[in-house]
Amino acid sequence: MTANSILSVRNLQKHFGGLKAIDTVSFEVNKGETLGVIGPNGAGKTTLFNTICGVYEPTAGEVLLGTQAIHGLKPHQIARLGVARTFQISHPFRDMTVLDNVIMAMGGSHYTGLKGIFSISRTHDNISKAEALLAKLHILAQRDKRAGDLSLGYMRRLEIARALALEPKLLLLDEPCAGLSHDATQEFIDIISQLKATGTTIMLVEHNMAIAMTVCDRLVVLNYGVKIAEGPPAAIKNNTLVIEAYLGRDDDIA
Amino acid sequence: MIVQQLLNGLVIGSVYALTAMGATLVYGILRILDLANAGAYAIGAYAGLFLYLSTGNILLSFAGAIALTGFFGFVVQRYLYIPVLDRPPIVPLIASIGLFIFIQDLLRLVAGPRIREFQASLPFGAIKTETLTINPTWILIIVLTAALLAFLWYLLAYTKIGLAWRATAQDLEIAKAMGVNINQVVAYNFLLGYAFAATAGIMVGMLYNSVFPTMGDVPAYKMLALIVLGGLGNPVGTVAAAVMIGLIETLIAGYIGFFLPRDAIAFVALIIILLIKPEGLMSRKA
Repeated sequence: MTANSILSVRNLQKHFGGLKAIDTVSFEVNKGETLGVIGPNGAGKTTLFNTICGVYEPTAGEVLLGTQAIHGLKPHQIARLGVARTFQISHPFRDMTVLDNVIMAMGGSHYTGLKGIFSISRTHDNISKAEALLAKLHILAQRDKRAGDLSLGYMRRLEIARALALEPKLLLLDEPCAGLSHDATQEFIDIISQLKATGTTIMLVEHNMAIAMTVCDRLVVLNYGVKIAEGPPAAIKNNTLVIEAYLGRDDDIA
Repeated sequence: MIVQQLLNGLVIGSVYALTAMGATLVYGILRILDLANAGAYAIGAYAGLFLYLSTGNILLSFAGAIALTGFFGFVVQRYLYIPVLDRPPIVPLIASIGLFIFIQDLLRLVAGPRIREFQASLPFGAIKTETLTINPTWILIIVLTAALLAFLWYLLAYTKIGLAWRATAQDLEIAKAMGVNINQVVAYNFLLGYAFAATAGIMVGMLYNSVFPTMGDVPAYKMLALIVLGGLGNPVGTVAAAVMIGLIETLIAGYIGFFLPRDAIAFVALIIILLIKPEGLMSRKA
C-alpha cells in the first residue's frame, strides 16, 4: 500500500453460487486521483461497487479505507466512514425537494444517538452548506423543486451533490453519463474535471471507453470478474487483452 | 345537535387516526402490514387501566402505558420483524397475525376474559353550553390526538430523523447508501407507532368504559382499510381517511339510524370510497 492510498482492494472475491462475479481483484485508489473501472457489459463493475459499499458481503478478500478495514460493515457505516456513491439508475428521493435531498445526506453523526431525533434539518448552517453543493453542481436554481420532476441530467447532478454532502474521502460514480445526450455528457465531463480540480478522489465505473479515457488518470479493466489490465489510459488503449475483451467476440459488445 | 354529532365523529376519527398511524409509518418504511399494532392498542388499554387502578393518577397511567407499549414495539421489531425482513412480504404478515393472536390470548390469561370497566376521573370537567355538552373524555381525546399528530408532523417535517424517515420510505437502499441506519429508523418508528396505539387504546377504554382482550379486533380491520384509503403509508392521508370515516359512521348512525351497526357502516363507506378511488385518497405520484 502506498502512503497516499485512500482505498485498497486486496484479493477481493464475490461469488454468487458458482458464478465468480469478482474473482480475486486487487487495486489501489490514490488520494486526489480519478480511477476508472471499465470493462464490457457483465464484467463485474457494478458488483465491485456494491461489494466495496457493503451492499454485498465479499466472499473473500479485504477492502481498506485508509488503514481501516471496511469489508463486512453495513452500507450506512461505510457511507459515514467516507465512501459515497451514486447509482447507475438515478434514484433521488423523488417526493422531497432538491434541497432536502442534500440536507438528508449531511452529517451522518446527526443520526446517531438520541440527539439525532430532535436535531433540526433546515438549520441555517445546513441550508448554506447544501446550497454551496448545489451551486457547485450548477443546480442551485432547482433548489425548491420536487426532485422527481428534474430531468435525468439534473437528477445525476443532484445525486453527486447528495453524495458530496457526506463529505466523502472517496466518491464512487456508477456510469454517471449513461443515457445522457452528447451535450449533457460533455457538461458532465466538465463537472467531473471540476471536482478533480478541487481535490476530490473519484472512482468511476464507465462502460464508454471514450469518456473513461478523457476523465480518468488511471484505469482498471475488468472482464468476467477478473482484472485484465491496469494503467494510464494511453497504455490501456493499446493493451491487446483489453482490445480483445472489447472487440474480440461479437457477443461482448453491447 | 349537528355540532354534537360532528364532535362525536371527530372523536371517533381521532382514535382511528392514532390507531392507524403506527401501522401507516411501518407500512411506509418496511412495506409490512403490522396487524399486531392493534394488539398494542389493547396492551396500552390494559396497562393504562391497571396503572390507574393501582395509582389513581391518570397522567401516570398514560405515561406508564405509553412507555411500556413503546418498549414492547421496540422489542417486536428487533426480534420479530427485522429477522424476517429479507423474506417475502407474506412472512412478516403472518408473523404479525400470529403476534396479534398471541397478544389477545396473553391478555385473556393474565387479565381474564371479562370486560373491565375503565372509569377514570379527569382533572378537568365537561364543557357545557345550552345546546352542547362536551364531556371530559372527548376533550382529552381531541386535544391529545392533536398534540401527538402535531408532534409527528414536527418530526417528519423539521428534523433530521424525519428526513431520514421520508428518505427510507421512498428508497431503502439509497437511504442506506446515504448513511441512514435503517434499523434505528425502524426502531424509532415502532416505538412511536406503538406508543400512539397505546394512547388510542386507553382513550377508547375510557370512552366506552370497557377494556377487554379482543378490543383490538375491529380497530385492526379498520386500520388496514384506513391505510389503503389513506394512500398506503401516507400519514396525512391516513389522518384524513380516519376523520372522514369517523364522521361518516357517526352521522349516518346518528341521523339516518341505519339498520346496520356503526362498524358495518364504516366498512360499507370504505368499500364505496375504494370503488370510486381505488388508489386511495392521497396516493403518491410515481
